Amino acid sequence: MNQKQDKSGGEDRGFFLRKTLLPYGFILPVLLVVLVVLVYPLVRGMYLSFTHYSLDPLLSQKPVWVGMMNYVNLMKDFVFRLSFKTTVLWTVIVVSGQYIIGLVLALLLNAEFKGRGLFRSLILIPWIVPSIAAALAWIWIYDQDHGVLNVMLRQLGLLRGENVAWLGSSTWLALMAVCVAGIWKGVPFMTIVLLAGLQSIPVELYEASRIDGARFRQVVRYIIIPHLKTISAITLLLSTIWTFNQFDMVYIMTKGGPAYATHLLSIYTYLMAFDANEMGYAAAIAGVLLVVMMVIMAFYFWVTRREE
Amino acid sequence: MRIRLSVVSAAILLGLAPGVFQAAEEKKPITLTFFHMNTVPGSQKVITDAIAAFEEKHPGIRVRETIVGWGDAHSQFMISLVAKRAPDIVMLGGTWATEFIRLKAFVPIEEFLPAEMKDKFLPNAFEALRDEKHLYGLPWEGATWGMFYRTNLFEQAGLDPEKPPGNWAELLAAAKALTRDTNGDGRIDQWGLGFPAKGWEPADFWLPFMWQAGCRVVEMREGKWRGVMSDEAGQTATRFFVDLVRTHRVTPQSITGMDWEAVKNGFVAGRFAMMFNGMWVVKVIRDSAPQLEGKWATAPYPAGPTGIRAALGYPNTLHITEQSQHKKEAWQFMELLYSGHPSRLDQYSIEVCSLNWTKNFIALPYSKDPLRKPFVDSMTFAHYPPGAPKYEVFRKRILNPGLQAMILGQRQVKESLELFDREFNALHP
Amino acid sequence: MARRQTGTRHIAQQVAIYGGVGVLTLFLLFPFLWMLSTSLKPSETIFSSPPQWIPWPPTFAHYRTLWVETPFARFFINTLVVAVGTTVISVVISALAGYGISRFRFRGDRLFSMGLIVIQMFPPVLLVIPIFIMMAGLRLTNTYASLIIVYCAFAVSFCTWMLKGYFAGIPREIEEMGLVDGCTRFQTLWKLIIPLSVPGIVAVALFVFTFAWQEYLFALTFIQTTEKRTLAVGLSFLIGFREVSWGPLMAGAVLVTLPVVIVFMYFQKYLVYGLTLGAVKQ
Repeated sequence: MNQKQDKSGGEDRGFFLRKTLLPYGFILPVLLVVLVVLVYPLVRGMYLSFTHYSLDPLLSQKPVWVGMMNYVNLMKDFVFRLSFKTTVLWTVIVVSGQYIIGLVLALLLNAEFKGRGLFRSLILIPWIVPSIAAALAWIWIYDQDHGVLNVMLRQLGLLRGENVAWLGSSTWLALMAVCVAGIWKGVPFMTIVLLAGLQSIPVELYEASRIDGARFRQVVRYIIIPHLKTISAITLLLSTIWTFNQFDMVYIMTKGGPAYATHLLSIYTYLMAFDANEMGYAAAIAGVLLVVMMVIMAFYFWVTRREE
Repeated sequence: MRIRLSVVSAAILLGLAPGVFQAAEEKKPITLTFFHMNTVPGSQKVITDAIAAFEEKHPGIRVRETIVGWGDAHSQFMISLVAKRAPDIVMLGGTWATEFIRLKAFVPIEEFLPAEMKDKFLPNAFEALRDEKHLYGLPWEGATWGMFYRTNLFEQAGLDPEKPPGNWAELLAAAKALTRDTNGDGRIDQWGLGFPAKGWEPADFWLPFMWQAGCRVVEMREGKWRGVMSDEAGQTATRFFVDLVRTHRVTPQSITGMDWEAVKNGFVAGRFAMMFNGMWVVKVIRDSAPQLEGKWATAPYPAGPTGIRAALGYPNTLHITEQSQHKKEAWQFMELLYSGHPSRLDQYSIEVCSLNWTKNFIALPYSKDPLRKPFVDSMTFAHYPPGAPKYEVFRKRILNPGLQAMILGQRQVKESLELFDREFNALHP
Repeated sequence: MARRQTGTRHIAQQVAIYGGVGVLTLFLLFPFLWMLSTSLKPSETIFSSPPQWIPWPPTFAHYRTLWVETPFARFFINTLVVAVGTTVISVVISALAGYGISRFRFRGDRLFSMGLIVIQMFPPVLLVIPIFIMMAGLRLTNTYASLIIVYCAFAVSFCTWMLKGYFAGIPREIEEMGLVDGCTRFQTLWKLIIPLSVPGIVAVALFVFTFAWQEYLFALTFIQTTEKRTLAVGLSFLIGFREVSWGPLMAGAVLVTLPVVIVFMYFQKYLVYGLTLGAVKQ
């Protein structure tokens, strides 16, 4: 598009003038909000991570520079190590679960059948159900005594003996239970975006492949996968970022328990900031989150660059 | 223009007539905020009525409630404090006061508190409310924790339902006798003992064992808070606690997923023959499981190996914040909460089915009820959780998850206790 | 694709498709439906086993409890104010910015577009600390404004990014006509571009609205009183200490969800179209 602009005639040049303040006027409000409310606090937050800082009712204490001390302490903090491990595990399980289910569903919804439109709307529900409602619904489903999951399993004959406390009886189970909720919440986004990707594949390609007598597997391999590559990369990136930063659903469902099973870094940050009032240390925990995000994003750009 | 005129005339009026000034002052509505935790509908009604009565008595003052969940109450109050949006009156969980007293969050209460009002309370009720110089609030309603047991299951197991376990050995013996596979499918479906170990609760059920064994958990040494959880007594207690699940298997490991309510449900359903739980559960069982009438009883915590009796029990607390702009009015409201016949505090406690640390409360017929009496009796040996300033963070970050890890068999007792001490000491340099 | 295939294969394929879609849709819908079902049951049947799947006759008692005995109505209004405020402001400023970067080339334009993506990765838990301190310093905590400002900041990057893609798809000739007729740039944007971009704008508005409607972390930290509390946090505080009443809680969950679901179902076409266009274009 840019090339096209450059090649156009004189009036066009005026229209897409390079050196003018006008475009800055258009972006100014967004720029201002983002700089003041996101970029400045980010810098400030990173600064705090190198300080010792607690809030007091008079806000009279100032951050005290301690260099790398918070980060050094983090390395020694076993709660941090556990939270880090849990966060990585959680992200990997949730993102891959979302992607696999999302892809299957997108492929299914791309086929032709009656009622497709209806299903396409229905599957959006988890995405728009507010996290708080979703968390409450899942707590209720997982409830040990009256939760419908135990009841259903028992009716199907899959559960004998004692009811399962899904969110608390073992660390592995609890993590899986919140992961299912996490996957559930993110599948719709994956599905619609992948579906859009599928639909952007020109129909002629399918036609051509059919004439050539290609099998489904070949269609997937030579048409679908190459076409979905870019869009998969960006959605996986977004979903990884969102999942890695997740706070509310898990916080409401388990508050991080049992025995650190669902203790995400975000929950640990919140605990250290607003229960312990150790703002510097909390900022350092969140700083690690940021660094991991940056690494993932750099990896993404590196991969997409190389593909080009 | 009109505005300016009215301002001028108002100023003249105010200047000329101090009487008018005062009237205007009174009319300017004062808003008090009262921060408290959600509760059962009955006791919420006591608060609602108190507010209505107060507003009627003081037409110029409105009281607004800020109601928060228990799980978020600590951080919410901390946030409101540092945001300089502290409420005028605040209700806090039993041990939080210590931490906020150090942050100079409250006004000393002596200047308001009449001596005869202070005398109404049991002396140990003020434990968490003072520093070296002052008293910073009043005890509110609270609970003690104790034992619930199913008398009919005792009989089935050949135990005397009149004689609940009085010490650890008897507790273990009874629990073993009560742990059974009732339908013969090879799985245990009736457990001897249950107690909540989910979320914020494991520490509350571990502490009594520690005290009963004679471990002080934490102590002040040369002006510093120090953890003594890994001492001999602490190890004995924690090992006993963990072995209930891991060695003797009289308690299921799934308690790490059960809150007080889930354990109560298990007790009602006969899956737990005995349980430790809070006093208010007496009312919950009575209301929700009338069919159980006569099949259950309560008792104080059994004594430790050397005969030490101890239970968890403490009042929550009420305070006026330093940031309050209307401390006098806040006190008037607080005073009202303790007034009336029976006092609103008593009404609140009775609605929740819990206790308060006033002398007359123990004498009420309410306290003589056979299912409630053991909890009232427990008050004499009830302790606060440790009052160290960073206990709350220690509990959330280290203690509860650590106890759960031991119950789940992921960590050893001795190492865990040493870790507890280390982490506790690091929080209190 | 399936049309020309043989009969039996066609049927088998259709069965497989319906089976797969059915199972997955059930998984995705079940928590919502179960929440709805529970909220409409009288307290006695909530715990019945086997469960009563369809609440009949339904009762609205829990909704009444919620509305009358808790400050739910207050929470609802607060959330509405914050969500609408956020939506209006973010859509307006993102439309301006989206127009700016889709129509002009200027120094730093690529940096700006890049920045919009990079911002997505800022961890909210890191930002909440300094922003909270900033708001406390400005005495802005416990105000609608504090939430609206923060939500806008989070929303605009994604919105601008999406609207940029959308605007880029509108032929420039339309605008040139406007300019020739003597319109200013704002007028062309307002009178020509915006009307043509309704689907994209609706999609973006919905995105912002839902985000602001359900945000939890900032609402939890910035708001200190029941009077200003939003739904998400208010509802989470209803999880009792001494009793969990699932009826009113599920009724609350349904009430939080319903407005967004209704709005979404109504604008669904725009949403999928707008979103996918934005996403595919990038």
